[in-house]
Amino acid sequence: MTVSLDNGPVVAMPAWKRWMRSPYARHTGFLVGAGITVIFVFVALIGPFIAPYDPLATDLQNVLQPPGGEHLLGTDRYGRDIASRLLWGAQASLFVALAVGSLSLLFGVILGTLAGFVGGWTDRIMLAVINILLAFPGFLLALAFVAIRGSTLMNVILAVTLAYTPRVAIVMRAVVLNIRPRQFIEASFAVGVSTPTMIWKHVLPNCLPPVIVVATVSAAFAILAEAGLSFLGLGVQPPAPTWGNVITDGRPFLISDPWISISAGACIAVVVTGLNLLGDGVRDTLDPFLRNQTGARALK
Amino acid sequence: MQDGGAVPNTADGNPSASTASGSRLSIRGLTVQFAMPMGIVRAVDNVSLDIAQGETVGVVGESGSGKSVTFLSVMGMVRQPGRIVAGSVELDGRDLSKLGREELRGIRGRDISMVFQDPQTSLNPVFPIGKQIVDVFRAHLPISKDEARRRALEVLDLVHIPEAKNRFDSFPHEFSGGMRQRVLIAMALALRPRFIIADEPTTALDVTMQAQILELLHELKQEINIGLVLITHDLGVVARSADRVVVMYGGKIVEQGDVRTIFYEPRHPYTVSLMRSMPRIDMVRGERLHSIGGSPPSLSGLPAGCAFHPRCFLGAERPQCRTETPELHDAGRGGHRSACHYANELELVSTDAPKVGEVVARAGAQTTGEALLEVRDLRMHYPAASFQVPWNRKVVKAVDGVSFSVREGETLGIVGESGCGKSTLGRCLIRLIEPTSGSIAFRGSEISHLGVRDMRALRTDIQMVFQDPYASLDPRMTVESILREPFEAHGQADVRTTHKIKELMAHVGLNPEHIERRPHEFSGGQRQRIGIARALALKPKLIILDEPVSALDVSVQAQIINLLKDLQAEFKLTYLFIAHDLSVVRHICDRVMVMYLGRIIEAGDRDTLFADPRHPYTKVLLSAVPLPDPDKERARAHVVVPGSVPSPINPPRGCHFHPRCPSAAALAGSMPADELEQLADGGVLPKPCVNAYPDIGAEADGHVQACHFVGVDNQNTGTRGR
Repeated sequence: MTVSLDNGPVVAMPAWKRWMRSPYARHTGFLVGAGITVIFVFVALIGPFIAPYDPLATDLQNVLQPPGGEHLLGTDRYGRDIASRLLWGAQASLFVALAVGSLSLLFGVILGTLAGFVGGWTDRIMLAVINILLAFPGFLLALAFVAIRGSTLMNVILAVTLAYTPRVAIVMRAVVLNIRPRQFIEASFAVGVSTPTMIWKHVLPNCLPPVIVVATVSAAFAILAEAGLSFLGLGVQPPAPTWGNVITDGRPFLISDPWISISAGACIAVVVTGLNLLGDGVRDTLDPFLRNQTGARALK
Repeated sequence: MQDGGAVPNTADGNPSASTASGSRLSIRGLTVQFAMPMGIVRAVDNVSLDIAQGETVGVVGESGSGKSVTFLSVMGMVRQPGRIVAGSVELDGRDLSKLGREELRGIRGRDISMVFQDPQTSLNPVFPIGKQIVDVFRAHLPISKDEARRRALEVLDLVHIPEAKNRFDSFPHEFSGGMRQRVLIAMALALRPRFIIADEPTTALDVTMQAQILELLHELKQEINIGLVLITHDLGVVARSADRVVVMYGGKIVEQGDVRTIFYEPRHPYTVSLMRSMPRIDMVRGERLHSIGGSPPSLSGLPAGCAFHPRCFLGAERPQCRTETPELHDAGRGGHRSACHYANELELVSTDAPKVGEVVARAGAQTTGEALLEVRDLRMHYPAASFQVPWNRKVVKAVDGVSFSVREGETLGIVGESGCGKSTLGRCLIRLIEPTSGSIAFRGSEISHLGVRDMRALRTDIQMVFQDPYASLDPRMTVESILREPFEAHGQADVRTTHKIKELMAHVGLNPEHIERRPHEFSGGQRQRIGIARALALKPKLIILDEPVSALDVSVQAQIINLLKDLQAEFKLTYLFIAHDLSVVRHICDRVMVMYLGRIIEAGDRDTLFADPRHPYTKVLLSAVPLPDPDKERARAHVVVPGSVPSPINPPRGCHFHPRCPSAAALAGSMPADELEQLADGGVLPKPCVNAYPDIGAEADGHVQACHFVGVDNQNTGTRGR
């Protein structure tokens, strides 16, 4: 049976109250993820101003200091303050995450929409290329790209974007294929809406939620990949302060002075987890397909 | 007709004498509540009902009336957050609502079983149908596999699955919808239950399939003495099959009684309104249908007092109706009960039963107007699969050589069962899909080869309204942006657009203040009004209506039909009305075309075509639609054709209808052998039927049809009464 659940008149209420009633406010994962992400962005932005030391200043009197005391998280083998290096490193990570997230979103959405909407041979060829790219492990692809092009921050970003664009594109294509045969698309064509307007006004807004989720995941992956590449010596070159470089610095002292690698690793773990939680939360609440099943239209 | 209405009832509504020996299913004061985020929703409210073995009880109601939930509760199948909070369900004195899960499982299928609406999803697609029936036996009885198989074959024979032995290991997708519904009925019958609950068993089926299934249910009821509960929204189905009728509204029973009483002497305003608002295939009800204002209430916000009072023609203004909930009370002979404070006043109100042969003058129908749209030999063929080997290409001939014209100011109906190509045809005309060949001329100029730009411009003249009001509106847009879109698409948006949008909303009966709302805040009927407003925005000449009312409740359907008629008169619109519901077509159309497998098989003026159908398929279609009038429905002859509409990938050679045609089969008996063709399955049919597609003839009165033998066979078609 179908129970129609009319929401009745929409009562005006203050924005914060409406937010408290929204599904986001009830989703623990989303709240935790969003909290971590906000703190991460904040720290990355003000990090250079609150860092107690110069991240590059060596202090050979105070090498390998344990956490506590003058140096909150200790020092590495050149006596550089780890807390300061991590604070500066957050900036590099944020930059990579943002750049990769938005670039892979942009390219992925364009390619996916093209493949899904044009169809035919365009779709088949693009799908083949995307599948070939997907067949490589993302990290390997990035590794090969950086190895050929040289290790700069820009190349790391391009490499990870290259690895993640196909993932966004294939999700986008699938969602476009799902939206395209819907009657409201047909109905808009019938009133004479042109194809570009159609894509901009109907297809994109209805497709974005799942794609944004993939983009957050790719941003998280970008942080991991940047650290991984740095660790292998292919990322941003030392002595620049990045989280990956800090882990590399700590590698010879993993047994004797583990806090160096652990503190950097913990930063990465927390931020990546936060971004993934955020993505999941957004998907759970924003996805119109999930919402339609539980939402206002019908309940079986 | 046999037992319709003749069951004597005791005062409390229980049939007694005729079925005293059989079992009885009693529902007493059943109340079911759902705990929803917005509060408690009472889906079933104090429902009491008896069903005896051997009788058919029709349960009628619109969406949200609680009819399905009532019987899911009987089966113990109401799931969280739903809960039975009061009342009992007794089977021969045993309270089912007190039983544990295992005991209940023993009763389900064995004593009471259920047939669901959608035969597509009710069978497990990965198991052969035979195994699924065998499983039913093995779940309840300690019998061997072979024994179960033997019994499964028996029930498949019982529901007339042809060659049950060979089809035992077939998978559900190898059966047509009607056949799948038969398999489901076979499963429900497997353990010879005493009661079967059929929840909208024919709603998902075409009319010819519906006729077959109703015939089958009727036959089974007599053969094996089951008590049948038929849950439906279709009064025609009830009139045809039910002995007693229960009408539900807002979770309550509002009226119950035997079928003739309910149809001829209803004592509840809702029942009366429902009957009046149904268009009928056997007559024209004047220009406007009676319509019930508003839409069925949501169970979470039922009106106080009598739930129907805001829509009621008797009680809208009366304080008693607004404050006091009426209880069921006796309203006449034989257990007739009604829940209306003013039931007595209805004695003077007729259900608008028309006189036979009543002719209603048609206003505004200009069937002699200029041809607005001329279609010549239109074909739409598309590949049956995207990758095909070149030496075995399969083509779906969705539309296969269709010619007709639409005259200015008229309403042309296109009817046919699913798969006949009517929707594809509509989409070809507005060029949402590109036709394979043929010409379409709009006001004399050819439009089938227009480029994208010209075609977009033409869309100011030709518009479309879609079937599903839920799917045809972008859920993310407000009404304003939905209705602004046509103006923007044609560069007509300016400062006055918002004003125009509000005007449009008022025209289609929406409150212009709701301009900022999104589709989910509207009911189905209101959404369809938004779809109509969108089509009207650019002041088109021709509107293609693709099943515009088939997704709506009966009471809302009448409102939309009336609205369409009003708009046509006001804006001088021409309609192309695509529908499968012949009653609606009869009401709204001036001329009608009947399609079968991509071709037009008969076309003519509405009254001529419905009064004197000539093509055997049209006759079959018309006789398959049940009339909401028990006496008439049971007295008339039904032509039940075997099989279902064949696949348009490989349509039968010759006349597409010949394998199912009752006339051809009857005719073959009286023809000399040299004019007959031997068929692969052993039958014989007249040669022309099998070998040549009949041309659609031309006749002076504009009534054309495509049958080789029209007129020859009128006396010996294979009609049979019930």
